[in-house]
Formats: sequence, structure tokens, C-alpha cells
Amino acid sequence: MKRILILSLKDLKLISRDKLGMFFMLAFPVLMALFFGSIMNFGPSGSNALKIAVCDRDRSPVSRRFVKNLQDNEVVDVDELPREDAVDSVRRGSHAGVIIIPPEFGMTAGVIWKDAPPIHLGLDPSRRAEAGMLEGMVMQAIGGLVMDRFQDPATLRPLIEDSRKEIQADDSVPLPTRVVLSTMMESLAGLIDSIEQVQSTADTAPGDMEQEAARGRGELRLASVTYIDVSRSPDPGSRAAILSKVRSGWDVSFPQAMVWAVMGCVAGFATLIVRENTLGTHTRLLVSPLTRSQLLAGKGVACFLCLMLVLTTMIMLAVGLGMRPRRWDLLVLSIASTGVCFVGLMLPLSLLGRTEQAVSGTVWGICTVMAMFGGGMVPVVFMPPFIQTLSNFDPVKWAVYSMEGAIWRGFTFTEMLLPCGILTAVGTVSLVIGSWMISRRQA
Amino acid sequence: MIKVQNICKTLGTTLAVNDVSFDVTAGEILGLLGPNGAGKTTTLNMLVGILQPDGGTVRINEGNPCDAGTRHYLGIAPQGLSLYEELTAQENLTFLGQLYGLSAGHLRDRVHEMLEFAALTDRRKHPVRTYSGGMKRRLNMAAALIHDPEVVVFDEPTVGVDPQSRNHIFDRIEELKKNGRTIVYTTHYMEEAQRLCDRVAVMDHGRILAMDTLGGLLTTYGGAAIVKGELEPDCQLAACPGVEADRSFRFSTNEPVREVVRLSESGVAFKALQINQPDLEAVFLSLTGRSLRDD
Ligand SMILES: Nc1ncnc2c1ncn2[C@@H]1O[C@H](COP(=O)(O)OP(=O)(O)OP(=O)(O)O)[C@@H](O)[C@H]1O
Ligand SMILES: [Mg+2]
Repeated sequence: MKRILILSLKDLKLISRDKLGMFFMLAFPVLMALFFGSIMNFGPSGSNALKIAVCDRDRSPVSRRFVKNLQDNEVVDVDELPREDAVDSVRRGSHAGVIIIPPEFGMTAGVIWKDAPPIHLGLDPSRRAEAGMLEGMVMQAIGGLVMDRFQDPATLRPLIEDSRKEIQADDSVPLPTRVVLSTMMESLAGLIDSIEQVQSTADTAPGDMEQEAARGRGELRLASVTYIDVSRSPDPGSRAAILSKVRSGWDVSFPQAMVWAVMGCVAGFATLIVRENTLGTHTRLLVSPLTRSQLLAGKGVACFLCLMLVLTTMIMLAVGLGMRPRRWDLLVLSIASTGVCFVGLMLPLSLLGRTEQAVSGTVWGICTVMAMFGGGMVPVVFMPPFIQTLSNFDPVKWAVYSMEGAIWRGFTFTEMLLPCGILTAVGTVSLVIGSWMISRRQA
Repeated sequence: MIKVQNICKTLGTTLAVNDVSFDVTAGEILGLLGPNGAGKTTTLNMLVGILQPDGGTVRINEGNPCDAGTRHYLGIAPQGLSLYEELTAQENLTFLGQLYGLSAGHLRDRVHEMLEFAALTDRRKHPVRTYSGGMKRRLNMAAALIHDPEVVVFDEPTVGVDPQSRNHIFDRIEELKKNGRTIVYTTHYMEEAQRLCDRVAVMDHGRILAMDTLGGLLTTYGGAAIVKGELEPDCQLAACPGVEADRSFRFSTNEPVREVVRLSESGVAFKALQINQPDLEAVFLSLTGRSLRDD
């Protein structure tokens, strides 16, 4: 084991002195991650406002007024959408919550002696903390309606008239109560008359009214809030559902760039193996008291260590930029199995030519194609279905997929087994084939 | 120490080594002499276990060089330089020493000694790619000796080395011999074989044509020595063989000195005398009908 490490350290030293190799292994992928990460637009937008979708199914003056009150509130960004779109948009994560105004809303909203108007709220499950804030916002907007009703008594009068008639017609109410109530309604009508008179002569300070409305909020139920379920996405496999988990451009750009780093290492080490032959140093190693499997293991371990170093560096950088892997343990599992896979692939790839140029060129060619289909250039989710199917045969896809699983897809350990298992299997098989081919070539 | 029996090797379609056998005893230097493509390198590769012979056996210290254990006793300076160009001389030597499991202190001493051996102490921190051809050659030899092996194989170690460094290298090799190391040495150069080797094997087309001590080879295959010169005008012309009308003479004999003395005693007076002893070139010529080197 000690000898294998000595061999590996020598290889790491050699690779670290190869400036161009280092560029492709580290600098290029980092630049790529930074570039794509900064142009990709995912996750919450820059403004701190709570993005809310509103669906007004009432479309009465009162409900319009309510929507306007919401829009005037600087804490929320309001987009009006049809009902299904509004709910979907929350499911996709585009909006933090949805407010649905049912058709009867305008009849009773803001009328404090009537039943509280129904209203439906839905909230992104990951933003439960903001539920209270949203509800408060709704109440404030309805509170504004109460104030409006008093400011515009004309709209109240028919309501009072209706109520009075209702009370008088309702036989279930005992007569004395009926008398009391209709007297109250009459005096309310009188109150409104006098408000109108005051308004016509002088402008009342709206501040007083506002205070009153605010005070009323504590004691009265201004709205009857029911929550609707927006937590379950209709199709968890849909592109929208998948992308809703992405929190920032770094989430996508780093796994993508990390596979390029992996391929830089593979190309670097495949070339190093050939270089060992063209320089003749391989002869020296063959004469040393090391077995051929130790020599191979030395290369494998060196390549693996190099991969781990490069990937760790990139992850640290990403974390510095704000990327937060959902599961660190799974991320370790992911990069370890990616390492096994590509160390395994490196061996047969190193046999594709006799000169460094030939191997380096061929390996980069193959890697570029693998990257193209595996999501190293365009994320697999954005690809047409038949290419997505093809990409299942591409280890790069599984490497990206497993890293994404740990970083933002929120995989469980069981979900992680598929990509990591495939990577390890591909690595092991090509390790065996590669060792066999190398020993055959040497014989 | 080294026992090679009837080894054969076909590379591609060429029968590179054909039924080669030789023994080397401890402390001996065996030279392999042969033209390009004779099969010297292929033989050495089988000797150190890089190549597996198609037939025959190789034993080093009773062990098979294909076993990692046996290779502990072996050091090789391959014909093609085999050094890490991006590493410095010191790093190359240290890495190899570590592979052979030298302890840290011992390794430091050995690296120091080998840098001296290669006369690269002041360039030890420069990467090998910045060295001249001769410097690389010297380091290539030093790398073979880092673990002080009992059996050392040098494959044309002095190609491209200037005469001064070459003498330095020969002194070191003689020192190794004095310390009881067993050495196999291939070369195109007669002078080297004549100066260093106890025995010489002449190879061509994958076969060993002859193997003996230098003197043995010369007497068996070198043919007679050539004595030529010019006689004094007034001496016994008739007593000397091969005399021309202008008194110059040329004859061949197996015992040139004795013959010259005998002639002198019998009254022949030499104005000019030159004795051409047979050399390996002549040996090679007589064995193959070809000259060893084209130049
Ligand atoms: N890898 C190979 N594949 C095919 N033929 C080879 C290979 N290596 C050597 N040969 C052939 O084997 C023969 C012996 O080669 P070898 O290298 O042993 O010669 P050599 O005596 O060392 O020559 P030189 O003095 O030029 O180093 C040559 O004819 C060469 O062409
Ligand atoms: Mg050779």
C-alpha cells in the first residue's frame, strides 16, 4: 500500500506540473460553472417581496378593490392568474402562495355585521413560515374594504335595507328581537345619512377611520380563511416539478462543470499513462520490485485522489458562492462513485493511442460527446425525450444526476443507489476490462 | 549469479532473440556486442523480467526476474532514457529509492552519492527536461544504481556522452566491479568492451556468435596480426617475408612480437615497423563478414 501511495504521489506531482492539464482540470470547469451559474435564472428572484398569485373569481367592485389593496402592499408582489394556473404556479415554486377569491366574496366582504366572507389560501409547503404573514396581509386588505364601505356609504345602504327586510320577514326571530334589530338598522341608515352629510361638507380625516378599522380587526372575523392543498405536485417527473427544486444557478452549473473537471482528470491521467510509456519510465517501474497490479493500482489511486481534490475544491467554491447541498453524506457518496466510474474508464481510454497527442485527442473527443449527451453542456431535463433516453447509456448523465441528487434534487439514500450503483458498476467493469487489456498489451 | 538458458523471443514477425544462453558469475562484467537490431535490448529485457521469453529460462540469483522479489537485486539503465522529465534529478532519484523501500536516512545518502556519480549535484533542483543529452544519460545510470543492486544492466549507457564524462563513468563502473557487482553491458564501442568487460558475447541476428574473454576472442577469431614497415637498405632483405622491391614489407603472423625479435636477431634491420594487433572489429568482421558499425 505504501508503494502504491508513493506511485500516486509521484503522479500527482507530475500532473500538477502540467500547466495545460491543470487548466482543463480546474480552471476551465470553474470558469464554466461561474459563467453558466451566473447567467442561469433559477430560484427566488432578487427582490424580497413575497410573490403571490391571485385569482379573482368574483370580479365584483369589492373584489377588485381587495386585489388593488393587496397590490398596494409593498411586501407582496401580486400576479393575477386563472385559478388552475395560479395553483400550478405555486406547485412549481414560481409563486410562494395563492389567494383565491370565491364568487360570493363581494357580497359580504367588509361588512362587519355579516358573516365573514370566504377566501381560499394556498401556500408553498417549503414556505410555511410565511403563512402568518400572508394571512395578515389578506386581513389588512379586507380591513381596507371595511374602511371603503364606510367611505362609500351608498354601497352600504342597499345592504342595510336588505338586512332590515330579511329580519322583518324572518319569523324564526322573536318579535321583540326583530323590533330591536330593525331599529338598529334604521339608526345605522341614519348614521350613514349623517356620514354622507359630513362628507359632503368637509373631508373627514381618513386616519380616524383607518384606526377604527384596525381596531375592529382584532375583534371581528374579517374573513373565513380556508387553506387549499398545493403541496403535491401533479407529476413529480415533469420538468417544472424538477426545476422547482433548484434554488440558484450554482445548483445546476456546478454539477455540470464538475463533470468537465472529472473529464479533465481522466484525459490528464490517460495521457500520463501513455507518457510513462513514451518516456520509457514504465520500463523502470516494471523492473522495480512492484507487481503489475500495484503499478495499475498506483495510477488508479492517483487519478482517484486527483478527482477528489478537484471536486472538493469546486464544491468548496460553490459553497462559498452560496450553493447548499441538501445532503452532504450523499454528495460524498456521489463524488466517490463518480471517481470509481471515471478511474475505471480512464484505463481503457489510455489504450486508445500510442502517443500522448493521439490519446489526449481521442479521450477529449469521446469525453465531449459523453458530456453532450450526459448533460455537461445542456442539462438533461431540457433535452428532447429521445436524447434523454439515450443519455441513460452515458455515465456522465449518471454522474451529473447523482451530484444533483445530493445537491438540489433532495434524493434519499435509496434514490441515490441507482445512479451511484450504475457509476460503480461501470467503473468496476471498465477497470477489469482495462487491466486485462493492459496486461495483454504488455505480454 | 545470472543464468540464461536457450531464450527465444519473437517480436511481431521478427525473431529478435534466437536461442541465447550465457552465464555471468558474481563480480563479472559481460559485454554484449552487436550491431543495431542484433537483439541486445530484447535479451536484456528478458533478463530483467520486462519481457517473458517465448522459450528458455532466466535465473538471477536462482530466482525468476518476473518475481518482484528477485527484481530487488536488479538495476537497469535502459537504452531509451527513462526519467520523469517534469521532475528534478533529485526527485527522480528519491522516488525510485522510495519504491525500493530505502529508509529515509539511507535514501538521502544514496541520492547524494548518485548525484555525485552523475556529476549533477549542482543541477539537482532543475527539472530533467532542461538537461543536456549527456546529463540525462548520466542520470539514467545513476537511477539504475540508487538501491545499490547486485546485478546491474547497462544498455548502451554512454551514447552521446562526452569523452570526459565517459571516463568518469568508466571509473565508476570499475568501482562497482571492485565492489563485487555483476554487470551486463551492451555497446557498439570496442574500446568500452575492451576496457571494461571480462568477457564479451558477440551478437548478430538474435544469436550469440561467440563468447569468450577478450584475448580468447582475439586469438580465436581475430586472425593473425599484421606486421608492416620498411627495411634498412643494407640489411638481409631475403630473410624477411613479404618484402617488396621498394623494401616495404607486410606479413601476418599469430605471434608478431616473437617474429619481429627473431627477424631482428637474424640480421634484419627495420627502418619503420608497425604491428596491427587484431581487435573486436576484426573479430566481428570474421564472424559475420560485416563491419560492426556503419560509421
Ligand atoms: N516492439 C517490437 N516490435 C517488433 N519488433 C521489434 C520490437 N522491438 C524490437 N524489435 C525487433 O527486434 C530486433 C532486435 O531488436 P533490439 O532492440 O533487441 O536490438 P538491439 O540489439 O538492442 O539494437 P540497437 O543496437 O539498435 O539498440 C530488431 O530487428 C527489431 O526490429
Ligand atoms: Mg538496443
